[in-house]
Amino acid sequence: MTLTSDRKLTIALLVALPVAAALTDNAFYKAVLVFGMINAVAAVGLCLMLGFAGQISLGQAAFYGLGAYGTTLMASRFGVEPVLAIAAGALLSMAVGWSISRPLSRLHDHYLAMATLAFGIIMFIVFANARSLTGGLDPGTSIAKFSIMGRDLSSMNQLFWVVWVGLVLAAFVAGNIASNQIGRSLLAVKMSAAAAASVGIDVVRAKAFVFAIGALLTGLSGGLYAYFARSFNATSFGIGYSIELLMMVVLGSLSRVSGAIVGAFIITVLPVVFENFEDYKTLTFGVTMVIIMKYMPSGLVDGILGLPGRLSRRAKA
Amino acid sequence: MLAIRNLNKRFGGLHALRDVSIDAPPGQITAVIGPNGAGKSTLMNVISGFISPDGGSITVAGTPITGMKPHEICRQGLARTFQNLQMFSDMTVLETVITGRTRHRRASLVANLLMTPRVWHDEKDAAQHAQTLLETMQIGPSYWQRRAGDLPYGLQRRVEIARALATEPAYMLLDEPAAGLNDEESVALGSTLRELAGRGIGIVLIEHDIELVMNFSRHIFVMDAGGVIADGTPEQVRSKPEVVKAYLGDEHGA
Repeated sequence: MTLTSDRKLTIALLVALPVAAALTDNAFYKAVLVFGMINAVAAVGLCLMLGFAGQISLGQAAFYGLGAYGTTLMASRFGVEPVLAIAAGALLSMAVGWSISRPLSRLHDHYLAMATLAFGIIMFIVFANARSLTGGLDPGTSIAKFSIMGRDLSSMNQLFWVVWVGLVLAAFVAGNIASNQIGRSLLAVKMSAAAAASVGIDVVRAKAFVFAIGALLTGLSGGLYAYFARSFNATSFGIGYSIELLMMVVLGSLSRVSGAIVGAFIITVLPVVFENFEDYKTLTFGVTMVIIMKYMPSGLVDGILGLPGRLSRRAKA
Repeated sequence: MLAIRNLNKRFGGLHALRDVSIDAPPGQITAVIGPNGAGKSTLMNVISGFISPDGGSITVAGTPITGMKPHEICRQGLARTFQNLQMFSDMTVLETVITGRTRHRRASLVANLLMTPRVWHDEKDAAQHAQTLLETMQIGPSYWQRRAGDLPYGLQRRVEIARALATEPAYMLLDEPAAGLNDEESVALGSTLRELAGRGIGIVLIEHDIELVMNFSRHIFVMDAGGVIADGTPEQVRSKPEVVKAYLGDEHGA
């Protein structure tokens, strides 16, 4: 896969979402859609880090939590306008992402995975224990309804559009990065740090940038989650969520923004679908993952887009 | 002038570079040759900032670059290629060369994130520039959209040179560009390098291919055991006994 800008596919997905929402009256399905979009925003962030720059992070839940708690604190303690509170949460997350990138910039692959995993665990412990700020595990914390300039927009239908705008913004920025020199610099750092440096790319700065933007988007996702859940505790920001995000990105496509969105919806929706399988739910989920990875190792999106070519080659043979 | 003065580098007990001094003028091909283990690659990595020297100085057109990081050295107008190809394998050939333009891009980060018209314009410019360079390196349009890592070895070497050229260097360090090329390709490479030198680029050629070096370089430095043991024009170097000795061993030299 090269850096083809897959704008068209991304736009198609972004248009399909409101259509899907309009087709269902079921409040639960609508909530699943909204949660899927929230996850997609975070997945787009990780897609830039892992898919483009090759920087694996097993600590994304920490950024998600920083966004959620940052937003809640701004809104609840300082009475900040919700949109600004979300922005503040995302910026807090970005600042932390940027500052951990420097000590991490010498690490590669599994060492980086270990370090970010440790960061995620430490932040989880902080979230669970800094009870005066976060409410810890029990009772947790809660946030007022989402509103803009005093206008209540907290119904699921209204929240859908709020989150949709967030996803469109994330996809817009990530899509731009994918199709200009920033994306190429990130890809260059991933494929050969030495060659990247030899053409004038500041490798340390590129890594700091991608950690910052990845944390920003994941923090934005956390802020949206706060208004979606309204009441939550530290369990939402454990290692489990970091792993889920990783699955979304790997499953969808490592090299496409659209892949992150598709992956996010699969990981969000499949468990709901498999709910009918009762006891076999986890097993079915696991087997589905294995099958997808076995037959579409570069992700579902590339796998499906490559399917016509593969079939015609088989027909000729 | 790319001026290297009294460069020293030790790896533990190994004296990899001892008092190496080399001058590479602009618009010429200057070659560095020597048997395996002579310190050529270490020299290359020290000049381009991947290894820091224990002593000595390097200046590009009077600007000291000793101790700078690799990307800073590139921005001083010194580009390089790698002995073991360092391709951006998953990019297309065209994207690879466009990436070489990074240091000349002026649009701000915010402009890039928002993809302003200015950035679109820059993208087009960079693509055009890259295409010209690919043509210079005789890589035809049929290859431009191919995955860089899928190209034949010889072409990948040319793509690396095109990528280095895209940084618009005053000097280029080429680490064994003819490795793995056949005679015909090697001669073609030589004339391309001569053409590039004709444009004013100072080329430092580290090479095993003696034919290429003898036929195309203006001045040759011979290294052995970390030091420069001889230098001169190809004719002068060819006849020096210490060079013959370093290359062929004592019995032949005697």
